[in-house]
Amino acid sequence: MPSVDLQTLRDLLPPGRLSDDAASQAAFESDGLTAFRCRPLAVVIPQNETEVVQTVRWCDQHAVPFVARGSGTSLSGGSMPVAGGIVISLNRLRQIIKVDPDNRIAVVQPGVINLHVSAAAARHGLYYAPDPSSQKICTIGGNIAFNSGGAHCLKYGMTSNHVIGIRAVTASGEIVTFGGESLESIGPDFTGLFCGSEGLFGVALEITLRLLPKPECFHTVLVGYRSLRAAGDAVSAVIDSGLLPGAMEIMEALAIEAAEAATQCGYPKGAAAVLIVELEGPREKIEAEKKQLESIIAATDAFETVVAADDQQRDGIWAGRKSAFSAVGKLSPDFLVQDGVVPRKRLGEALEAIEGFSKDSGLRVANVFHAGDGNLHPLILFDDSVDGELERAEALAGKILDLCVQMGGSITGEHGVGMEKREFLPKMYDEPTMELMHRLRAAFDPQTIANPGKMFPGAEAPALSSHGLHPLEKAGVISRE
Amino acid sequence: MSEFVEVETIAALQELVRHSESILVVGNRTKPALSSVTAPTQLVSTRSLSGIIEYEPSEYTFTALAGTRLAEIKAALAAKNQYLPFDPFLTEADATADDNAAAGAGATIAGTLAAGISGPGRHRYGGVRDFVLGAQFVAGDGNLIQSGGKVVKNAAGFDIPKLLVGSCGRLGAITALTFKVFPRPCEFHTYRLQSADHEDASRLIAALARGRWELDAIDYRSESRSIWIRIGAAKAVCDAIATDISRSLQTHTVEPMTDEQAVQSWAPLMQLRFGGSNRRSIVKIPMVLQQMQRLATWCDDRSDKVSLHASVAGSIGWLAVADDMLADVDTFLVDASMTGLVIRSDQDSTGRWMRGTRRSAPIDQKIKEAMDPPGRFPNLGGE
Ligand SMILES: Cc1cc2nc3c(=O)[nH]c(=O)nc-3n(C[C@H](O)[C@H](O)[C@H](O)COP(=O)(O)OP(=O)(O)OC[C@H]3O[C@@H](n4cnc5c(N)ncnc54)[C@H](O)[C@@H]3O)c2cc1C
Repeated sequence: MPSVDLQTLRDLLPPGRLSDDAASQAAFESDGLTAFRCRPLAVVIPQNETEVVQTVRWCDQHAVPFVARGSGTSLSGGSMPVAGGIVISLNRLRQIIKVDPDNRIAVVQPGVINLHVSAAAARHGLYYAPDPSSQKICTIGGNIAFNSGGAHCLKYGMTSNHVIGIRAVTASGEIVTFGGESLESIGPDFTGLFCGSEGLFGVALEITLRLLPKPECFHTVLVGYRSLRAAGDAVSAVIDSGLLPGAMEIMEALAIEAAEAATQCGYPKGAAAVLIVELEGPREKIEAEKKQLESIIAATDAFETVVAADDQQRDGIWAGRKSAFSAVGKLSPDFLVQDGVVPRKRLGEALEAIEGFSKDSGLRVANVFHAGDGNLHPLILFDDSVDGELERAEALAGKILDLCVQMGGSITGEHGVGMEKREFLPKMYDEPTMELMHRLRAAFDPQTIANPGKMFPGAEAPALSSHGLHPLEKAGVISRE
Repeated sequence: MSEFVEVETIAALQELVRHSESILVVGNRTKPALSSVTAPTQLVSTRSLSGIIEYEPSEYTFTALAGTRLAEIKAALAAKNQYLPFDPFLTEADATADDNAAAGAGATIAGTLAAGISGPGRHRYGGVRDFVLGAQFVAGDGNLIQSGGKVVKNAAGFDIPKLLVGSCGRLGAITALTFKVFPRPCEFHTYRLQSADHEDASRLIAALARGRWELDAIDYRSESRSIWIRIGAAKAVCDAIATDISRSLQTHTVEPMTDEQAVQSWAPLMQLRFGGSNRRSIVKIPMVLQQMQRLATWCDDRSDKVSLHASVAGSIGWLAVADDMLADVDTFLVDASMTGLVIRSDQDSTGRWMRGTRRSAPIDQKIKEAMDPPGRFPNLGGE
């Protein structure tokens, strides 16, 4: 890396925007995947769009890499800094520019926190549907970059299904506008391409989001099963019935035990697996659908069924589910989480294989998953202070990803490829397809300065260290799925 | 216009892409204006690359070859009580389409995606962009690309399938597509709501779309000032919801349509024939409610030549236009900073399918070059 004169960047920006002292560098050295660390050259905290654009153009002129950063909750190393590069921290761009209830849209800056959009829309009876578990803290910019999901993807899709317009500055400094305020646009869906680009195209500056009316009623059912298979069969039965639940989640014994210890959520005792099914919609429809669901569940091998009688009970059921990961995390000094996807009907097979991998490696794995869409979240428990355990955990994670690819699924359903899974991307896509992705990236970033070393294999890997909870999880601010 | 050839295999399509100077892939040409080009171009139809390759009702997914007709897909899904919620147009064979060799064949799945066409059902769960999961296509260099995935959730790699939505054959020759599908409500029922004028309609549409009722479709026929509401559920449930809408609106009453009335109302829209015999050209216009009012008012002054059907709670204008009015539509759109896409025109030899305010950003061209390095497919600009 040729030496660059940071002073020229400092001079461009108002005082105080750029810091390159050790403390600031350290504050940004990793993201939610604490395994990877790397100190940036400097951190820029712009206050407005112009300063972001100036910084990106400076990087382009000097061929200095940069990484856009929201709240740094990426679980795949996506927002980890690049050596010799600039971190552009977007948290100060947190203005909700407008909420238009008639057209059901919100226009926001990239540093706006996911949950704040729903909060601003609430007085109009609207909300922003994508709900990653980190929604109290993660930003819309980060959500876009990873096309983040949540428990309600089956019915509502991922982030990109709710983004209708993006203004961005590309890595080469061009300001681009994709889509707009209408749900539809003309010509290729560039907005859709930008979503999920993992910060490799440039920095999103202003985003137009689609809002939905808040569901009027929820009907949440918690069901206990003696075997994982029985829970899986129940999911199939619900799918076959023609119901379209807002969410369908399964947790298995180890996760239930940990959640129970953490939140006293009152899940059925002795369950090998619990299933949460949630219907949502207008009361007239829910009235009819809940009877249908009741008879479907009654025909399964359930040994206990709890129907949430009110919001408080519903929150209790979800508290167990939402706490599962941090709770399991507390059972072990370190853990790794994957988010591969398999075809739903092969879930049982996939879980059996994972159990086998777990036995072979001598490491425990807890499973929690979005059962409706086959999105696994195996949590691999290990202790970094024991020689070789980290490597064994990494190897186990790799086997799970290979399994997902072999089954015709995906290596990531919502956390993105980032740093962590980049070696696996070519297992999903053949050479011509990978080459095309490189060409698309070059269209936005001919010098490869936007978040280099992520998504695509080949770059040198930074040092691995421990895999503990995200600092915010330790503090109890957020929990993961 | 040049003759078009049909390819029977993907390999043959790759060969053609590699060896033609300029090539454009079409389906059945239900939207012929989108494939009309002025420069000498080899037209290739993928309609023989037809058939559903995989359909997994339990996974909510299917994969079909590019030329598979929507009618076939719709029937296969219906047999399992599933559907494509975005309601694609031109599904049925159209007996009035006598002006083309392929007349009456109905739209293909790739043509629908490449044209970026979603019907009224887009309101509830999203459009064609929201249901496509994977796309196999031939890039400009002749390579076969396998983008996206086959499962309902996938965040790995760039979302190239979405880029193909609305690309009108200019970014790649699609050979197969994977879609997400949903369980189909047991019944659909349509209701009508009479508004006083366009402003009133706008207000009503906003209230309906924001309400608790989860309506399946909210459309507005500007000539009659009537709003059509479609709800997907059993009759008793739909009626209860409709009653509650009337109660909540206070000033307006929601009237049920009989099944026959519903079919008669929706069918001309679904065939894009609602303009009758004198307004045969169709322009798609993305908009928001304020723009809908302005466009509807503009149409009132020229009602013998233009007719507006505003779909998806005022997000999409379908304009049925007499051919000699296309230039005026253009002027209106430019004045209003709006854009339009000519889906069908009897005068389609001009090849001017992009109307109104034109987009021309350097990034568009760079993306085009990435998808089509040798420049085999026509320009994005639409000329
Ligand atoms: C406890 C916990 C729970 C989680 N639960 C979920 C979950 O349920 N579902 C889920 O999908 N994810 C989940 N995640 C992962 C993470 O929260 C999401 O990926 C989130 O979208 C990241 O947002 P962020 O603001 O923290 O982005 P960052 O981590 O700061 O950045 C993520 C990526 O976005 C890029 N980026 C950021 N801002 C911009 C911008 N303006 N323009 C362009 N690129 C940008 C970065 O370069 C980086 O590549 C969880 C994480 C944690 C720690």
